[in-house]
Amino acid sequence: MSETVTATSSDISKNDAILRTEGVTKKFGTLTAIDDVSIEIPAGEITSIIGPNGAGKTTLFNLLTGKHEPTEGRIEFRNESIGGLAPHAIVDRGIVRSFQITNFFADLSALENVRIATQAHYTGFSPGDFTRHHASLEEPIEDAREVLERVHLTDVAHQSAANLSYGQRRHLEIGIALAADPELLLMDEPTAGMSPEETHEVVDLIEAIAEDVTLVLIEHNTDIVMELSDQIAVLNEGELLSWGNPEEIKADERVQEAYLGGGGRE
Amino acid sequence: MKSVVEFFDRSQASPTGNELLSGQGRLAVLVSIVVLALFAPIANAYEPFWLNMLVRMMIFALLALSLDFIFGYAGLLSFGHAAMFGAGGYAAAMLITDVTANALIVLPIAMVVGAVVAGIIGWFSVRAHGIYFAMLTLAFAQMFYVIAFTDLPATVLGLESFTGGDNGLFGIQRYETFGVDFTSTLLYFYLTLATVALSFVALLRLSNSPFGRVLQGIRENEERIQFLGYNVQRYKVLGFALSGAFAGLAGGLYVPFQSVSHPGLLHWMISGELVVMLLLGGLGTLWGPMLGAGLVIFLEEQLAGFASWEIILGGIFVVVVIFAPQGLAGAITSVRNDPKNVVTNAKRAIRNYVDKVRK
Amino acid sequence: MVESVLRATLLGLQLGMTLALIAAGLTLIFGMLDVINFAHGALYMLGAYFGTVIAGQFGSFWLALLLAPLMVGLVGAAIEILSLRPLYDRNPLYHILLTFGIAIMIQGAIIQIWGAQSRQIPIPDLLSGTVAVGPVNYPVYWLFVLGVSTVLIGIVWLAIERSDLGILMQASAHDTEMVSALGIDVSKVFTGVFVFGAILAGIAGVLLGGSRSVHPGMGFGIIIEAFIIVVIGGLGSFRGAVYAALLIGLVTAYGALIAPTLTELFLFIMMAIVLMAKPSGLFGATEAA
Repeated sequence: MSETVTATSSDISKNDAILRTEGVTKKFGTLTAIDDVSIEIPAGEITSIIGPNGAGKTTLFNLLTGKHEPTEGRIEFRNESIGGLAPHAIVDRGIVRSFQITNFFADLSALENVRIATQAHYTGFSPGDFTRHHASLEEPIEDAREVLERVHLTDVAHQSAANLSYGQRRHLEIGIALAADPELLLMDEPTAGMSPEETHEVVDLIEAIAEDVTLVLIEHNTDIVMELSDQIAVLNEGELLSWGNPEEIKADERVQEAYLGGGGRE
Repeated sequence: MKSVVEFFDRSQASPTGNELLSGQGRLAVLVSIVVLALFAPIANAYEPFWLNMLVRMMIFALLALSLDFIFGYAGLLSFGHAAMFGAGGYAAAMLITDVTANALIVLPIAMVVGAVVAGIIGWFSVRAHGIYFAMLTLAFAQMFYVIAFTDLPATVLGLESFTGGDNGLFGIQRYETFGVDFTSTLLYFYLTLATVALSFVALLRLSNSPFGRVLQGIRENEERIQFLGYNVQRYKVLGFALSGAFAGLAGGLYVPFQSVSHPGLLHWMISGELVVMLLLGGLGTLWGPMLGAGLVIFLEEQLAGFASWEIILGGIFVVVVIFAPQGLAGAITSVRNDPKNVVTNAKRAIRNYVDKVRK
Repeated sequence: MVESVLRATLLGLQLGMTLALIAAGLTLIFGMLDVINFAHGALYMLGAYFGTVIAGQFGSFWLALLLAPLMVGLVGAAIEILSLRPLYDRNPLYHILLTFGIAIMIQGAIIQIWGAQSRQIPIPDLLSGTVAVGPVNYPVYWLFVLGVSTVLIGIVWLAIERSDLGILMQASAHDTEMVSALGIDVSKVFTGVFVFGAILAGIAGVLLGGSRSVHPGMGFGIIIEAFIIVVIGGLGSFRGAVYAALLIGLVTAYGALIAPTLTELFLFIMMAIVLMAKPSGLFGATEAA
C-alpha cells in the first residue's frame, strides 16, 4: 500500500490549504449546529479542532465526509467542491475518517476488518469480483498485514475484533481508516477513554501517520492538542471562535473563557 | 463443472478465516445431494407422491436460498420476493407456450426477468432501511401482483390477454431440452436437483467473493462500509438483483412443474411464507433456509388432511421466533458443539422466557 | 352524476373511518412498542367472528358490538404478555416475524373452528333499510357505521391529545426511561396500548362484519390496506393515521367510480411515493439530528 500513499499531490504543496470551507452552515430544523464556519486545513500538517461538547465538532466531520450535506456554504478539497457528494465518493478523493466510538465489524477478525477496507482499492463490479474467492486476492491481504503492522496489531491479526482489548480496538479503528488510504485523515477523539500509557502509544502512532498524511483531530486532551498540533481551530456553539497555532490559542482570552480556563475539559 | 469440483475440493481454510461453510458442511451438502439422487428412483417406484413433494421442496429451497442471500447475508429484509418468483414463472410460461420449451434457454431468461424485476424494486427501495425497506418491497411486489391479477399489460397494449388475469396461464408443458423430455416427474426431479445444487454453489461462491464480503460488511456495519469508499446503494441494488435472479429461476422451475402460472405466485403471502421458511431454518447460513423450506412444504403437505395446517405451522414458527431465533441451523449447531448441555440450555431458555413474561 | 359522487363520498368517509379504527391501533402500537403488528388484521377478523357467534347465539347485534371487542382485547393481552414481551430487546424484524406467525395461527384457528365459508353478522331491524340523504337512498347501517366510528375516533383523539394517559403514551413512545423514572410501569403501559389497539380492531370487525362478508381471508386482506394508511400517515402518528385513512377511503370510493381495477395499484403507488419522498410519512416526525 505504501507505494500508493502520496502525502501531497502535485498541485498542492506543503502548507497550502488541502481542504477549505467557506461559510459552511448546517441546520437541523431550527437548531444551527454549524454556523458560518470558514477554515483552511494546511497540507502535511496536524490540525486540531477543539471546543466544548455540543460545539459541533463531530457535525463538522459529518459535513466534511458527506454524512450530512451543508445547508449553506462551500467545501473544497484540493480546490474542487465536494459539498453534497456521497460519503464513498469523498473517500475516493482521499478524505477518510475514524470514529469516536469504535465502529468496526465485531464478528470478523482484525485482519479481515482491515482487509475489507484495503479490498476497496482492488475490487469493484467487474465479473471476477463476483466469482472468485475473496481470499484468492493476495494484494488486499498483504496491504492489510502492512496496516496491522503499522498499528501494532500483527500479533492479534486472527482474533475476532470483539475479543480485542480496548486499546487494541482503538488501534484497529485507526488501522481501518488508514487502510482506506487517506490523503487527509479526520480522527474523532483517538485517545478517548485511554490510560496514560495507551494514550502515549496512540500519540506516537499519530506522529508516525502524520509523516505522510494530513491530519485533522478532534481531541479533548489539551496536553495532546498542544503537543501535536500545528494549527488549532476552536469551535463554540457551532461558530469558529478562534484559529491559530498553539501559542496563539493559549494566549487567546476568548478561548480561555469558553474552554481552556472555564472549568477545564469535560 | 470445474467450479463444482473446485468447490468441493477446497480443503484448506481461508487465510482470513470467516468461511461461510466449513469443510464438514460442504461434505454434508454433497452427501445430501447424493442421497437425494439415489432416493428418487425408489420414491418414484413406491410412492410417486413423495417425489412430487420433493421437487416442490427443492424449488422452495432455491427460493429460500435466494432470499437468504439478501436478507440473512446482506441484512435486507425483502417482503416482496414473490414478485421475482412470479415474474420468473410468468416468463417461463409465456416462453414455453410461444417460443421454446428448451430449459437452457427458458431458465436463463427467467433469471434475467427475476433480476430485472428485483433491480427495479431494489433501485426504489434501497434508500430506506429496516422496516421501511421491508414495507417498500412489500408495496412494490404487491403492485406486480395487482398488475398480473388485473392483466394491466393487456389493457395497455390492447391485447386480448397477457397474464391471463386472475385465471393465470395454464396448460404449461414441462421442459424438453435437446431431445430430453422432462415430462416424467423423475427426470424433472433430476433437472431440479441439478439446478438447485448449481445455484447453491453459485450463491456460496458469490457470498465468499469480494462482492459478497462487502454485502456482509453492509449487514454488519453499513455506516463504516460507506466510509471505506464503497457505494453502498449500488452494492445493495446489485445484491438484490442477483437474489432476484435466483428467485426468478425458482419460478421458472415451479410453473412448468405445476403446469400453471397464476397471480397467487406473486402474492405477498408467498413472500411471508418464505420469510417463515428462512427464520425456521436459520438466517444467513444458506443451508438452514433450504432445510426450513423443505420442512414447511413437508408440514403443509402432511398436515393438510389432519387439521388446519396454519395453526401448527404458525405455532411452530412462533415457538422458533421466541425460543430459537437462530432457527434449526442454530439449534443443530448448538447441539453439535455442545451435546452435553442440550437439556441445560433448553431449561435456561425457558426460565429466561418465564422471567421476561413475569416482568 | 351528483348522486354517484355523493354516494361515493359517503361510502369513502365510512370506509375511511372504519379503516382509521384499525390503523389507529396499528400506529399506536408501533409508536409505543416499536412493533409492526402483522397480527392486527387477524384481531380485526376475530372481532368479526366473535360478533357472528354472539349475535347468532343471543340474537343481539348490540351485545355482539359490546362483548366481541372485549374478547379480542383479551386475546390481545395474551399475545402481548406471552409472546411480545420477551422479545422487546430483540431486533424489530423479529416482531414482524412473530406477529406474522401469530396471524397465520389465528387464521388457521378460525378455519378450524368456523370453516372456510363466509358468514355475516345479522343487523337489527332498527338499522336495516335505507334512508334518503339528499338525492341518494343510502343504507341506514352504513350511516350507523360512519357515525359510530367517527365518534370513537373523536374520543380516542381527545384522549390522546388531552388526557394524562395519552400524554403518558406519547411520552413513553419517545422515552421509556423517563417514564420508568416517573415510577410508572412501562410494561403495563405497553400491554394497555396493545389491548386498546386490539379492542379498536375488534370494534371495526363487528361493524364491518354487518355489511361485508366475514371470511378467513379478511384479516390478511385488511392488513395491507392498514399498513398503507399507517405508512402514508407516518408510522406512529395517530393524527396521520386518521387523515390517511380518510384519504384512502375516499380514493378507494372515487376510484371505484373511475377505474375500479386500478384503484388498488394506485394505493400502492401512493405509498411508494410517500415512502421514497418522506419515509417518515406525511405526519411523521421530521428527520432527527
